[in-house]
Amino acid sequence: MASMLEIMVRGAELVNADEEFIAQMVELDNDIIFWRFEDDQPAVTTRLDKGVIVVEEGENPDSQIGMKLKAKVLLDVVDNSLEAKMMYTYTELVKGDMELARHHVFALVPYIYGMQDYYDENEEFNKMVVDKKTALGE
Amino acid sequence: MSEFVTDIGFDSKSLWQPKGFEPHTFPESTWPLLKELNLKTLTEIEGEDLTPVQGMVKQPMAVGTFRHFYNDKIEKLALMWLLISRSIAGGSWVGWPTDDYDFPALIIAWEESKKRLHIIIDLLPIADCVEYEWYREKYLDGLEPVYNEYKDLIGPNSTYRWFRAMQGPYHIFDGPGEQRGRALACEIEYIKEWVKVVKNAEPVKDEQYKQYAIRRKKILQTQLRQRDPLGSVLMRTLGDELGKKSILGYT
Repeated sequence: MASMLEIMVRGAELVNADEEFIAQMVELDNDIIFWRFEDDQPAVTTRLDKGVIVVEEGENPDSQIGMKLKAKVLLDVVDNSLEAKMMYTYTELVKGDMELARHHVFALVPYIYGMQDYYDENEEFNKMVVDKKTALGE
Repeated sequence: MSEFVTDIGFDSKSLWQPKGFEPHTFPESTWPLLKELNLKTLTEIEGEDLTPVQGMVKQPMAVGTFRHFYNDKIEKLALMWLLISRSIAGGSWVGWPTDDYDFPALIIAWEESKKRLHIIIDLLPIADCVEYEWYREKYLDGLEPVYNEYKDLIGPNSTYRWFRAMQGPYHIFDGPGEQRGRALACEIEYIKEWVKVVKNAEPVKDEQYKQYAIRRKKILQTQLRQRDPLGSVLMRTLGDELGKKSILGYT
């Protein structure tokens, strides 16, 4: 079963290869967020690097925002059972404040919406997410 | 001074197309109610030229346009029609009285995507409705039949406590499920009531109360300007310059 890191890496691969999302991310750069999952290892850092979403293992110390959440919360956003902006309700900010979070997390909108599209359209990605939610007991 | 505006100047369906769904025609459904107010185009607020956002705005993560109006009673009335990340159709009307009037602010939001609809529908009281109970009776209680008809649309309230604190007694927030048509119909009814209230409004005569109403209106506007999450979205998607203009336009 895939880890959250593997799911997020696969999502990034799909989105980074999609012309539509490439166009949306073209001006995004240097938004760094780490994701500390309460029920999954390892932590994950997402980083916008000149219009490309980079997903790396661990908590990047240069992150502007650090979020602590259950893996299910992000998986719910990916399968669209939770509205993306409601993620804050289930997330503890462990680095940065809400104003910074709104600014930097918004840079992930193309990535998040892209993963939602691929959840609907890509059987392999869908299975990764469904299996993970099942394993987490949801 | 500009001429009275009789046409909103764009067709929402041809302005942009979202992916995977066809949004409701929020601008065309609501504009005919408001144009009765003999509105004029507002091109500047607080020294800021609004015309750059009144044209077609095209950025990587957002495309759309804004309209701003005023008349002798309305300080500013802003329309937003924006597509974010090709997935969210965002529409809103926000209107405020001039300093000579105390009628409620119009707050209408329409945020539609393939799987969701988020709405905010309110006439935001400029005066405290407990301290000034007559204010509620004069400006807001006309909404009661509409509120009763549509209160099934009410869902979980805003997560922002500062926003909950400023809401009016007939506030409707979220929870429309698949009742998109009903949600739009409710927005139309609230706009109709606001238009009626504006038409009937008379200038405030009590100078002490007037200063109170002005002060409270400015606090509401400032809180929205500084805290509304839409502001962050506009700054991020439109860039600092256009984002600032779009925020000034509705707060």
